[in-house]
Amino acid sequence: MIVNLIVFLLIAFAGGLGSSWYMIERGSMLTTDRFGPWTAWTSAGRADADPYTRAHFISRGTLPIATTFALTYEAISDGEGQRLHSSCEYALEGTEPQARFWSLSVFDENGKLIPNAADRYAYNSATLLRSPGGRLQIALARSARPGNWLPTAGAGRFSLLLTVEGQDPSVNWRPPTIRRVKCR
Amino acid sequence: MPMIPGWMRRLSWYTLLLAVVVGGLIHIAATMILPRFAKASAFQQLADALPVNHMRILPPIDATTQPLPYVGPDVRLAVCRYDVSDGPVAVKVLLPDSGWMLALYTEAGDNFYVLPAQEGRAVDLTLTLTARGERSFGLLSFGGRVTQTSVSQVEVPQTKGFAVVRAPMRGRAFAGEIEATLKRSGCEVSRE
Repeated sequence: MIVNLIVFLLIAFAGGLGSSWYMIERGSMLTTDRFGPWTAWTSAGRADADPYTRAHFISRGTLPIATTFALTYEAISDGEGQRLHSSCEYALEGTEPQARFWSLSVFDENGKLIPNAADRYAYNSATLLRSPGGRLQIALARSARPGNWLPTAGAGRFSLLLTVEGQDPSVNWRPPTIRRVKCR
Repeated sequence: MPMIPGWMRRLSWYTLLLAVVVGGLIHIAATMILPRFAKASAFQQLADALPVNHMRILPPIDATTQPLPYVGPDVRLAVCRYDVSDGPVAVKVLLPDSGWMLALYTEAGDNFYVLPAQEGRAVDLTLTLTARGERSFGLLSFGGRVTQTSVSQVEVPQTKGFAVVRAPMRGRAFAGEIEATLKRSGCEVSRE
């Protein structure tokens, strides 16, 4: 009797609430596209979005751009699956999207911009410094780095948002890799 | 043959079945209800700072002026908190270049209409927002899809929401020009 009750409670409540939290917070293959550490909610900001996507953005208290206009990729971990953290330094490397406009911003785990003396929070297709090979290279570190650098000092856990507007569908582009360089 | 633990042999199939069914119901209820309690919605966060049916240009975004979570400094926003319960609201926008857009959101945060600027062709348009069923003629259903610029009336699914003009910040050199263009946007009760 007691065994049946415990199993019932575990499956019904822990399973029901846990699966709901996971589908809202992380998404699934039904609601998101995943590219390594990057996740894109495929029906974000649309009136015909599924309940999980709607709940995800309502709970964040933000106004997403409809995916008919722009796709937003979010990363909370590096290429090895470790949570992004300001005690570590990371290198973003890849190719630029073939798009009308793109931007990459760094936020703390609550979606707030990370205060810094350089007043630097993002790069976009107009402000990125290109390397000779034309590759996208951005350093995420506590202190200044040569080239494209986004400060992360004091953030603790943080996330990256890459928004791509007007992406050329004929180009098989993938978001940049996120390589952990070192940790303190 | 593997040994099944004694406690598992005491489990009833009816209990498992009932647990899965109840778990499914809890899953659905939680998905619908929990987000409402998680944080303040975008509407709740912005509503107090914005007058009704007026377009307000938000300051350049940095760590001290960020209006909403996950909104970065690569955009400049002008926002109208519309309310069509007392009549249609006219939203005037100028979208000079690609990357600019007008987006309409419901109070719940659903983006039900997007009007992006066209490459090399500016959009200068006044949209009339009307309550559902207020006008039946000449209205189209948009369903969140990109629309034609010739459409001048939009039936909003909820009486309250936001009209957001979004301008890409392509560097500080363009800040003055962007602000001047945003100032040409407007929002007011329609006098038609």
